[in-house]
Amino acid sequence: MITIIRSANQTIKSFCAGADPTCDAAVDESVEYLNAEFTEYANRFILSALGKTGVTLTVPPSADGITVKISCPGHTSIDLSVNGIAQTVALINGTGELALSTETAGVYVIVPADRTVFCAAGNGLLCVEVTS
Amino acid sequence: MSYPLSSTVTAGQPTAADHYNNLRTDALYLGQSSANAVPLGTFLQRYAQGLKIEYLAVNRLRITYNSINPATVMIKGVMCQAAANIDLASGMFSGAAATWYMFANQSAGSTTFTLSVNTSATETANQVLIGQVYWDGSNVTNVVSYYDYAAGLPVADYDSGWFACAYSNTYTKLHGFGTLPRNVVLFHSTDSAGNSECIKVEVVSNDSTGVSCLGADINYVYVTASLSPGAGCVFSTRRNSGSGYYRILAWRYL
Repeated sequence: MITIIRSANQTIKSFCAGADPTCDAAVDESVEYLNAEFTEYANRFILSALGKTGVTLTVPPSADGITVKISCPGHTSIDLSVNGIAQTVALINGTGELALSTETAGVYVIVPADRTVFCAAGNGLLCVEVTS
Repeated sequence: MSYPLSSTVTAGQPTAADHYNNLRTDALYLGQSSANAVPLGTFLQRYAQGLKIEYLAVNRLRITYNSINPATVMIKGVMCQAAANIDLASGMFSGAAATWYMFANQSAGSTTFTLSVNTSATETANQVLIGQVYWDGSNVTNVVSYYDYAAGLPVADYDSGWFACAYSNTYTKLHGFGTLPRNVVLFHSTDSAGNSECIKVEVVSNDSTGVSCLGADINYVYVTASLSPGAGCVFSTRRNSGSGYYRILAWRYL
């Protein structure tokens, strides 16, 4: 069993193993329980780049760009939000890629567009910093 | 007073009252005056060692047998010692969330003891209180052994397990101690199993300035990840991240 914590707007804020009823009711958070394995649920949606996930990637400016890999088993496409801009990525066998330019300095924050279905935490959020 | 007070009685020597009384004083007070020492039985009436109570699936408790340091406890004047694992029977917890207390029970004809639990901390005739757990209505958590003085840092009294985190969020976790924790440690992992290098989170980034992110009160631990997408969850020389997984460990005051 896992516990899913939802924010007031029903987006998935976090999840953990077991039944943990703790949430911040003062800001209208709620919990729900799902009969699933923690690792299985965590692997529903993973963003990675340069072979890494769950860590901020810092890269120098380059014309090469950076490739973000998406793993979302059982889906044929996924809608992402890249700095708030929607991007749809086609998936083959549950995996796909998103190319990002690294020519200019800046920060990319990539999350699932529908955060009521996928969690923009854990390995579901990737930050890429292009240094100046 | 010297110890022992009693002395060897030679063959044929009449046993005087002093012989008996000195022997009694040695037995009860280790040769000291009753004005200065409690009787040995009183001194040891709550003696216990090696009483490390552990969780046993599902919703049971166990004192694992250790031949080097067997669980030993004085129960209402009776010296008891484990000779094998001692398990709490299944199905002992029920009802609404509450703190349950654990007892070691002595019974006639046995040199070992059994375990029982109750929502009352009051000892009955053949019991001694040895610990407590928290029953949340479904699960046993926060196992606390009152007499576990094993060497090294003890197992945390509260372990959140890994949970997903992201920048710009506050996470509230119930430790349920009823007192401020003695210590709280926050770890960060890049994967849900904690297989990556775990970073002890001291600060998170607030516009490239490190700020503390961890708090606690008598019931909860709070972690506030800062607004930085790049280092809102961990800000260190080892790793920066605005996502990943947190795990909280906390130790209680007894």
